[in-house]
Amino acid sequence: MGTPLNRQGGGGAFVVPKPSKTIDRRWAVLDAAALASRSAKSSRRSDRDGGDESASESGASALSNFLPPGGRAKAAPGTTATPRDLTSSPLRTWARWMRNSGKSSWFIPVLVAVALLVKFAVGLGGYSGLGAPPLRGDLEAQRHWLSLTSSSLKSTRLHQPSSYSVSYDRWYDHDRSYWGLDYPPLTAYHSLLLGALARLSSTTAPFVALRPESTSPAHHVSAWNAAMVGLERAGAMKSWMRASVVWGDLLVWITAVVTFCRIRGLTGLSQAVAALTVLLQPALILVDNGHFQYNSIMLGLTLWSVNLFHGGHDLLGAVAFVLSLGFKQMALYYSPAIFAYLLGKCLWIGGRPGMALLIRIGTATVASFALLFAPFLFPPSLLLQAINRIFPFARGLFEDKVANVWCALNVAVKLRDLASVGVLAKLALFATLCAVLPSVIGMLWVSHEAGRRSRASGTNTPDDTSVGNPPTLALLPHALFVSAMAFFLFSFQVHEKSILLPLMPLTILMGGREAGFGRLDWEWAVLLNNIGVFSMWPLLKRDGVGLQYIVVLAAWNAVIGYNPFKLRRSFVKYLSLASYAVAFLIHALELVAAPPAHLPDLFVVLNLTVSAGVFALGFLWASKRLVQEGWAAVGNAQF
Amino acid sequence: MLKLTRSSSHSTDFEVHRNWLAITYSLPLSQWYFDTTSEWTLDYPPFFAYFERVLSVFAFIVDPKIVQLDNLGYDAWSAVAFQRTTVLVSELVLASAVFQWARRSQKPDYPTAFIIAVSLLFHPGLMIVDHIHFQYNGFLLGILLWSIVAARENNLYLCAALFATLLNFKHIFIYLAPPYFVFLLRRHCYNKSGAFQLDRLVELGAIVLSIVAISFGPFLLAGGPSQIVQIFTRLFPFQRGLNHAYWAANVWALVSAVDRVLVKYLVTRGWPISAEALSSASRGLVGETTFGVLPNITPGLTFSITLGFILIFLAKLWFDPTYKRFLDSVVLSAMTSFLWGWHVHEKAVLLFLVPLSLTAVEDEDHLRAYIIASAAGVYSLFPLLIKPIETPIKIIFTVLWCSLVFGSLRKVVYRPNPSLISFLVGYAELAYLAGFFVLQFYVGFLHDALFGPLYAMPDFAAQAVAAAGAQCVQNATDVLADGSCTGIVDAVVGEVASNILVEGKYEFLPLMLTSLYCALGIVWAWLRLSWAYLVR
Repeated sequence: MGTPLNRQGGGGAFVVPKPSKTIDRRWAVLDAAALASRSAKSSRRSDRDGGDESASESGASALSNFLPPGGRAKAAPGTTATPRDLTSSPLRTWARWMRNSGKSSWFIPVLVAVALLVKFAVGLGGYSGLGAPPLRGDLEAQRHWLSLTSSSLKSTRLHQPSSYSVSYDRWYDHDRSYWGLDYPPLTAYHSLLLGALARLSSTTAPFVALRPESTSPAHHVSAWNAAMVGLERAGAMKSWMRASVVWGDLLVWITAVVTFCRIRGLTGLSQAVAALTVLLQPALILVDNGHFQYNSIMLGLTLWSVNLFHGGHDLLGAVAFVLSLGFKQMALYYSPAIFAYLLGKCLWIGGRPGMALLIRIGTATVASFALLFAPFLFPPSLLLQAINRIFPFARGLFEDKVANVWCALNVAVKLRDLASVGVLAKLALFATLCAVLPSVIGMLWVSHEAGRRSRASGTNTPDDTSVGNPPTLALLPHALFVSAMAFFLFSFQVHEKSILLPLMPLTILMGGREAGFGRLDWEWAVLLNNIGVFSMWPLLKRDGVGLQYIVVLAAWNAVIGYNPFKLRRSFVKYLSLASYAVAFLIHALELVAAPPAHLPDLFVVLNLTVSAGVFALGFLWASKRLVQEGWAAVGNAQF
Repeated sequence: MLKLTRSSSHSTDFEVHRNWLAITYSLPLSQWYFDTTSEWTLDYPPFFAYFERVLSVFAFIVDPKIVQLDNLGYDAWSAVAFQRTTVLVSELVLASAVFQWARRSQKPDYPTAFIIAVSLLFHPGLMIVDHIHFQYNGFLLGILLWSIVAARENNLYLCAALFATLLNFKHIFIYLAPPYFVFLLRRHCYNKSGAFQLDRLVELGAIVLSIVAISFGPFLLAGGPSQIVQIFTRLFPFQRGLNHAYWAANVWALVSAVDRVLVKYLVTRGWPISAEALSSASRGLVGETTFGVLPNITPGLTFSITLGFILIFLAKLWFDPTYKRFLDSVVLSAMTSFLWGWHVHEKAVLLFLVPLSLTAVEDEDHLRAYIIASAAGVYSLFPLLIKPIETPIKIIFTVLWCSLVFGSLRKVVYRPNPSLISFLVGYAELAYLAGFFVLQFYVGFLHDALFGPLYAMPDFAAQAVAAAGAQCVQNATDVLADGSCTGIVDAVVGEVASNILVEGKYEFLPLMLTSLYCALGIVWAWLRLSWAYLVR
């Protein structure tokens, strides 16, 4: 019985069955069984803590996939007071008002508008490298790539903002000392598209004026610099670049989040609340719309691949993930989990069909990689050069101060004095593998075991591959978090902004609360999000978005109804309280006192040590969670 | 919460208020209205000056540089944060007023009144003028709403006192004084049988006069009558032109536009047009307006027209001094003086938008007028925000606000069976609202695409710098050890940077279209309201 249900629900972690008018036999069985177990469970729990049935405890939520919170919602009118207590939030109050005044069909437009509004409002502030020549910052890096890639276009319809032109085969080789292109090709194509759009109009064409090479005469460079200073002052360039980020958000990230919430069975009110919770996530907004980067496209593509996996489109999902990787190599942090899921699915299906699927996925992956890199494939030296630029192993263990294990260790042990860069790189690689492999192996084992058991019970015949997903799909967000966090904590050359990668899968899980479970997931997600933003404070302060940091963070915590004092007693509650206290203390100290002269980075080091500690605990918790979920998934497949 | 995020831009009004903080902090009372250190002299009535004086104490604690008189244009982070916070805090007056109004509201019922209250707190007009542009309108309108609430509760002494206080904060509210006067007189000073009660008038007069005494008294004591004369010359500067720097969306904007069109047309037909009018017509919007064809407008004319209309409304109020009619006449007085007044400021739209919101769900006429006037009024404020980055914010915020508020309020208003005319009018209004999107498309995109602005290309800049470099090589004394000539090139670089934006043609056109289109809507809303007020 388990497996067909699995397929029906797509293995989601918070599936809400529709109130079925045509009662499918399977759903009828499900409802009966679930309601029985639900009532038993909730009565048990209500004995313990005052009738909050909003959240299953962290374990065995694979079981709770099949508990119909829809049923609870229908039964709610009589007993609304109790479940609302711990999960009420201003967002929900707002959504309830919208629904009750008959504006349910407005949910999506309104939430998109609110998300855009917040993004633009944050964009009013400073950005990385504002008015800081000669190198400026990330906005200039992206702008430079726009002008670099689009300068290769020759068309009479396009305006010519500068007389220089760089053909595509020199993209990865052009002027390395000044923001040389070091992202994979999809970023280059994206820049090409934006650059071409800018060059369509004479007003925007100067935004993508290519800087003369560093070797060219000094007055050329200073003339270009003068033009840039003028554009910076006029402000139109900033808003154009900002808008390009927001439209990218809208096309990829916002659609992915809304779709994910829908796929996970949320509709109407709960979908709106869940999606807004994710979309207003402060970390991403501050980095993308404040600091200035295009991370949301990479994250959105990865989320789209998860969405596609849910729909059973494994090949398309793999392609979407390749695109994500091709946009930013940082998506590599996710690759163990994606790999484990896809290989696991082949194992779950088993036999010849499984093998066939594996071959198809492999072919699709290789083919899409080849397509992405097609312009750079020949001659091989070109490809090598691109790859060398994308993976700069020659740099140090860590560049800036970042809240991972190496930097935290560095407080006590000066690692970089102990060993050469090469040795440290190997050490980091080894540590990362050690941290990632258990979850990969676990995922594979779960898929294999679940597949074997269901085949043994005859519900999953090998030729029955057109529908259904393995139980590991429900574990995928956790697995993505574990693998990205492992990379963040242990790998080589990590940036503080990379914390966005572990945060994304955790944040999308926060919607689970709207379906009535995943309480601990939610609490951990808020904690890690808050500390994640805190860990980026030095960066944000430098960019002049300190005010936005405070406002966006406070507003997000307020609208999702988060109050660490009101959490139920648990480890995460005390951890949250302690880490917030320390964070406030560090901020307060920084405000009133200058760091001592011999320790100029004192506050930064304190910040990253605390953050790294919380991240490490989050990693351990998620690993435990993965084991529990996996165990439950295998157990579920037994009957 | 969002308000704080918007702290990143500020305007001349920000510096105006900073300067007032400095004046009131550093100078003795007798000098406040004489100081001319900055061009932004103190031109609000005394209560506002006292208000600034109170704020300046805190300002001094936050950052002493804010209140230095000669520290013109100071906009450090501390100053911005402090002044923004004062606006936010002073807006609590508005918040308390709207919730007080909603709490005991009978018609509209509480849930609707609550929506209106929230809609006022998040009014895009207030957002633009107070939080982005920088003024204290929320605070002042809060006092106005408190006095309206007092009128509703029949607490007429309080109503009079609050309004007198308000007048002493900002004299622009004098436009609302006639309905207040008539309402208080009729409601309070006549008993049920219609007999006049002088003692009550004396009481009211005493309250108002004592407030004026508190306000102006200190100045009289400090410097005698010359102080009062000086204050009044500051408060009512009659030397200004018919239209403000750019046109407020009122009748005179429409008249001026008609005149411009006639001038252009008649010039082609060879009519003699005075040179003064021609230059006035061709230079767009700035400065005094001289009409070429139509008769010139004098302040006296505008005042008589305004007063004439207001008197008509007051006549009705005189015979029917109910709270509902009082509120309507307040709205109509504000609208009339906005539409027909001399040198009206575009920010004065808030004066009628806020009380109009309170009556929005009265009936179909009010609702329609409210929708049209709010949309037009808010849009007419858009040009106050000039930074391109602010454009999407103001648009998204306004569209969101309009759709949520209008959508909710439409539901609770009974819609009478449409006649053919009201049916057509309904569609015309819808088309008018849709027209804002077209207008925004033109103003925000198409105009730039057609007429510039152009940025000087970096290649031109390169030539300029190269020329400077060549010149400097010839002039051997400037050449430094490494052969470069940093000084001259840097100077040219600075020049190029500041001249990169080349002004486009027809710069005035977007502004003109905006104020004309908005004027149409506001005039229509005014006509509709007047008709409903006088006929129904």
